[in-house]
Amino acid sequence: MDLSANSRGAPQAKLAARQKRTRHGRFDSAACVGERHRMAAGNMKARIIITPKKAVLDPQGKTVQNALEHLGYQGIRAVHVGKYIEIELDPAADPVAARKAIDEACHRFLSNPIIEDYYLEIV
Amino acid sequence: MRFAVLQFPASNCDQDAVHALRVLGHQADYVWHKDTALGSVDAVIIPGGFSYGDYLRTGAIARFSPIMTAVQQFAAEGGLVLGICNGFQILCEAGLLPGALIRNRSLQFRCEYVFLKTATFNSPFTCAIPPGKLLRIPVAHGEGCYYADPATLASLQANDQILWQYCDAQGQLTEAANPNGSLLNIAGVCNAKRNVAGLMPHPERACEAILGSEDGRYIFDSMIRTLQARSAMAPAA
Repeated sequence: MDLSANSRGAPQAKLAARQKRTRHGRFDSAACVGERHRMAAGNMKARIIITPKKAVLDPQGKTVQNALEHLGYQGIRAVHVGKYIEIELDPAADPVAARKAIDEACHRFLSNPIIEDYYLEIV
Repeated sequence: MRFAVLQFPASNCDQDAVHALRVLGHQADYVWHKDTALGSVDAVIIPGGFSYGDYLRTGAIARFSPIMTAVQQFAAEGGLVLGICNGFQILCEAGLLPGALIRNRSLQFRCEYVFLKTATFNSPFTCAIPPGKLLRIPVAHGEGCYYADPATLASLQANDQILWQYCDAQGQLTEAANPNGSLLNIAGVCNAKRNVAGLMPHPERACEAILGSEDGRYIFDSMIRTLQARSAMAPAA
């Protein structure tokens, strides 16, 4: 998360509270209030991480895990390969509405809920 | 009978599908994905390919093409829709078929002949297949591993919606005969209403002896038999 976007110098504890994240389409209004403050600094982005559901076969993750082990990296329990999507948003937009819209897009289009989980943050 | 064969950017089996249907003596016309109407057609084929470059997920962008609204409507009215390969992926993304198609378990693109066991003859897509006949049809895909959660799989089985399963030359549903890791060796399914179906193998590539197999004809013949029975039952215009 790009902390430099916060030009108001909020105390760390408050900042942490603002960085609350949502998963699986849950709408977190507390996080949005925090975002509203940070948005004043300029850029607004949606960051979306999409991962295969744990129950779904992930041959790519398994192959990467095997390769890591082959290279001598130890202590790896599992590897999951997903995707990262970054959406640049209009900085003047209402972050609460933006989150709601992007969350809907994640569910409807950007991820397939049958096989994937997503993680969304507005920064 | 009149078939519509949809064309998306990077569809590449559209011409094969039109050719096969014309060889079988039927009318087949292309319908561009930006069109909003199918016209007066008896059935819709969503062909194979790599619509929109398979960006994001296979079929994820194509399912929102304007023509898909007309396909949803056509399917809701009971029209026959068959998705082949990428067409199957598009129908799953559109929610017209249950489940999803993910990366082959081997991570390899598989391009080869497979054998298919018909799991039920009770569908407009399998009714003309001779009982006991194994279909020898090619596959060509990298993301054809059929996945659905356990509850969905159970309902597919309970409702007889699994149409074809990968098998060996003896009809056994073995792991070795499964080209992509599909659950239950599933190669094709239909919806609960049984008028929408999808399969990863390419029946349109197996309709002429010169191509090595004519077994794909049974699937199109099933659709045609169903459509002919329907038109015979319909009141004369």
